This record gives sequence, C-alpha cells and structure tokens, in this order.
Amino acid sequence: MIPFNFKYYRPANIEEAVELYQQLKADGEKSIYYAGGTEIVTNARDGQKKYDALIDLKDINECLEHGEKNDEYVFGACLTLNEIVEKDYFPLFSLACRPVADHTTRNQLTMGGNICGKLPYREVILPLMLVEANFVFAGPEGMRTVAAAEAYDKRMLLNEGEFLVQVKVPKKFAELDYHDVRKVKQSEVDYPLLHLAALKDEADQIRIAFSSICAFPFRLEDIEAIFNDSQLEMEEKVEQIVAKFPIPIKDDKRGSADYRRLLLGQSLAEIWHKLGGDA
Amino acid sequence: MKAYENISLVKLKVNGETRDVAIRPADTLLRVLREKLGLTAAKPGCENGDCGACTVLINEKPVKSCMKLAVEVDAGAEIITLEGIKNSIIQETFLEEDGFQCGYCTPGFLVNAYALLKEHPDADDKLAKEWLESNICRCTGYEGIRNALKLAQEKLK
Ligand SMILES: Cc1cc2nc3c(=O)[nH]c(=O)nc-3n(C[C@H](O)[C@H](O)[C@H](O)COP(=O)(O)OP(=O)(O)OC[C@H]3O[C@@H](n4cnc5c(N)ncnc54)[C@H](O)[C@@H]3O)c2cc1C
Ligand code: FES
Ligand code: FES
Repeated sequence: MIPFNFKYYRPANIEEAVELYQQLKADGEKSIYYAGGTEIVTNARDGQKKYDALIDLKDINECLEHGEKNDEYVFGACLTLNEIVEKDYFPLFSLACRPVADHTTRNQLTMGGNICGKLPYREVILPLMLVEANFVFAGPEGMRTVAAAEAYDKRMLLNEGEFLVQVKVPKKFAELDYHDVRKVKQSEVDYPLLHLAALKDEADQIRIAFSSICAFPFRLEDIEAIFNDSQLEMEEKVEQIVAKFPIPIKDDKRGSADYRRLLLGQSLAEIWHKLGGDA
Repeated sequence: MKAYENISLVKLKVNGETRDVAIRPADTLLRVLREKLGLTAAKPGCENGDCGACTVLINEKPVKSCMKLAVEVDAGAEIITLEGIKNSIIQETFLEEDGFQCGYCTPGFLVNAYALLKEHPDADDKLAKEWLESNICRCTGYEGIRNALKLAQEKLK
C-alpha cells in the first residue's frame, strides 16, 4: 500500500500538462510527470519518494505517436517497450528495449520513463546516443527539439517543468550494421553488469554506447577513436578505453570492477568481430 | 482533463462487470481488487514488480497490478483477474502436470499463460520463456509449469 496520498491528473494535451505543472508549482505542490509508473509507484510504496501530485502523460496523442514521418521514425515517450519491440522500426532500438525488466513489466514500462528515470541503467537510451536522434521536449517555454548530444549528459537535460514528448530517429540508421551485448549475473531477467550497443556508421567507424558498467550511460568520441584504431591490439584498446571512462567502473555486490572489466574486454572483442572492425 | 484529488468514486470493468468503487488516487489496482472488490486471486508478493504474483490482464495484456494505479484504469479498460478465467485449458493442464505446489504464484502464472496462449497459441520455447520468466515460483522448479503450457498448446490445436 502507498502510505501517503497524492492527486492524480490526466491532461488531454501538451498545453494542459505544462500549465498544470506550473499551476501546481505556484500552489506549492510537488508534482511529477507520470508514464508507466513502474518507478514512481514502487518508490512511493516503499516510502523512498513522496509527491503531492502525479501528471499522467498517457492521454497526450504526441506522446503515443509511433510511426514514420518523411525520413524519420517517431517514437512517442509513452510507448511501452513491448510496443517498440513489436513494431520493430529500428532493430537496434528493439534489441535494447527487449531485455529490460521482463515481458509483463514491458507492457507498462515506457521509453520516456526509462530514459528520464532516476535509476542508473537507462538501457533504452543506448541506441539513441549512437544515431543523430532528436528529442522533442515540451515545457513552459514551449516546445524545443534537441540533438542527442545536447539532450543527454549523464541524465536527460530537461528544464524544470519540461517533459519528453517524443524521439525522432533518421531512418537511414536502421539500415546500418549493429551489435548489442548485455551481460547479466545469473538470470536473464536482471539488471545488467554491462550493456553495450554498437553501430557501424557510413564511414565504417564503429560507434559504441555504454550502460551499467558505470553509474550512468555514456558515449564518448575519444573512446570510439581508440576502438577504431586498427594499429592497436584489443587488450591495448581496452586499457586505453577504460582510462577514458568518465567515472570508475562500478564495484558492487552485483559484480566487482575487475569482473566487469573482464566482461568489457570480451564484449568489445565480440563487437569488433561482429562488425568486422576495419575490414 | 481527468482529475482525481481525493477519494473518488470510479467505475472499474472487472471480469465483464462494471463495479463502482471508492478509491484513493494512491491505491494500486492490486489493493483495490483484493481489498475493495474481494477479488483475491491476484496476490501481493513483492509489490515491487519482481515476482508477477499480482498479474492481471488489462485489455488482454498481462500487467503487474501492484505497479498500476486503479485510477489509471477508470476509463473502460477491460480488467480480467483469474476469477474471470474459469475452466480454461491452462487451468486443467496445471492440475494434470503438477504446475504448482504451495500455489501462491499460480494465479499470476495462469493469467500470464492464458494471455500467451491467446496471443501466440503456437509460441515456441523461446517466446514462452520470455513471457513466463516475468513470474517467479519458489516451489516447483518450473518444469511442471513448462509442461502445463506445452500440454495446453497441444490440447488447443
Ligand atoms: C521490475 C523492474 C525491472 C526493471 N528492470 C530494468 C532493467 O533491466 N533495465 C533498466 O534500464 N531499467 C529497469 N527498470 C527501471 C525502469 O526502466 C525505470 O524505472 C523507468 O523509469 C520506468 O519507466 P516508467 O514508464 O514506468 O516510468 P515512471 O515510473 O512513470 O517514471 C519514472 C521517472 O521518469 C520520469 N518520466 C517518465 N516519463 C517522462 C517523460 N515523458 N518526460 C519526462 N520525465 C518522464 C518520471 O517523472 C519519473 O521521474 C526496472 C524497473 C522495474 C520496476
Ligand atoms: S506483487 Fe506485483 S510483481 Fe510481485
Ligand atoms: S507453487 Fe509455491 S511459489 Fe510457486
């Protein structure tokens, strides 16, 4: 049972949602945008977080959009991960969504919730960091479209009162070669020890994004330059790549830093092999 | 805009019947089903999204009712609990194949397997595993559950 009360609103459009957030703020109420609820409800039940009001985004048409527009695929923030996997417009995206949580939970857990959530994994963002994805945000200043590199740095860079409406992915990226590696401790239904998504771009350079090995997902061009340097042996690459990590490798009860480092080496070698390196 | 600010009277469509019920916006569907509607098949296990004992169908999709607010389904959504699934083949084959021991996880497995059989009657082992690993059983070792699903698939052919 959730041991406190909150109000629940379900605005019908973007303007209503944004105005409501502002109104609640002016009234001194702590509100939060709500999507699948898997993080918000479980955190509320165990008393980790308290809110005065939830603003559910699931009646907003733009947040449910799922299709092709000109040369882009459009993914509404409130699509569930199963909906994304089932339509499978962008296979690397489906691959990143498919192992998150479990099948039943993925009927509820949304793309926007995963990438805007507070948990460190946020696996669904990995492919979006590799392609020139555009993020559409709505807030008190109106709507803005932001490139992936500016939309995300350790977390989604949303201003106060803003929410994610949709993500747009240029179709050309769905044609490129890709590989995805996700390592778990024991059971397949578990948070990963590491998750890497990789894509070979039009210039034959391999792009890689990392989740779960450190405290937040990241992609760094410096790391890709090392990885694509065909003069280096794989072990040298791994050493240099780890030295470029923005923060140390996680060391916790799920897996020691040494073990994750070992898995990283294996996973990078697997990606190099699958994507043909510089071949 | 729909707004629920206090205890509100909502209409929930459960097992084909529309039921009026007074709920707090903070009530989970699991608690409302069990404590307000007397439908106790869906079980509180972890209430954290991990075990699947609370699984119900919402518009034919399995959902963990411990993570769903009851106010979210006050819009004519069709909720089906195990009480609404009577005399199904999967219930029969769970009995035949010893798909349970203590039975605490069983309603969640049955509801999930029922949905799987409806959506993918010919599910292969990989797909069946993907769906059923949403549920945890602490007793059976899963073999009886797997066999029950297989037998149900054969009987439904
Ligand atoms: C059983 C279980 C297993 C899990 N396993 C994994 C896993 O394997 N890998 C993984 O990466 N994660 C996993 N998670 C974490 C889950 O993906 C995140 O908690 C995610 O936030 C849930 O999405 P949601 O739609 O349910 O979000 P909600 O609970 O609705 O919201 C979560 C947060 O995101 C914010 N938010 C939601 N939508 C938007 C939006 N459109 N714009 C701005 N902010 C928004 C909310 O304000 C809130 O802060 C798991 C969670 C559960 C319960
Ligand atoms: S009680 Fe809902 S998943 Fe465990
Ligand atoms: S039969 Fe006891 S938990 Fe599954």
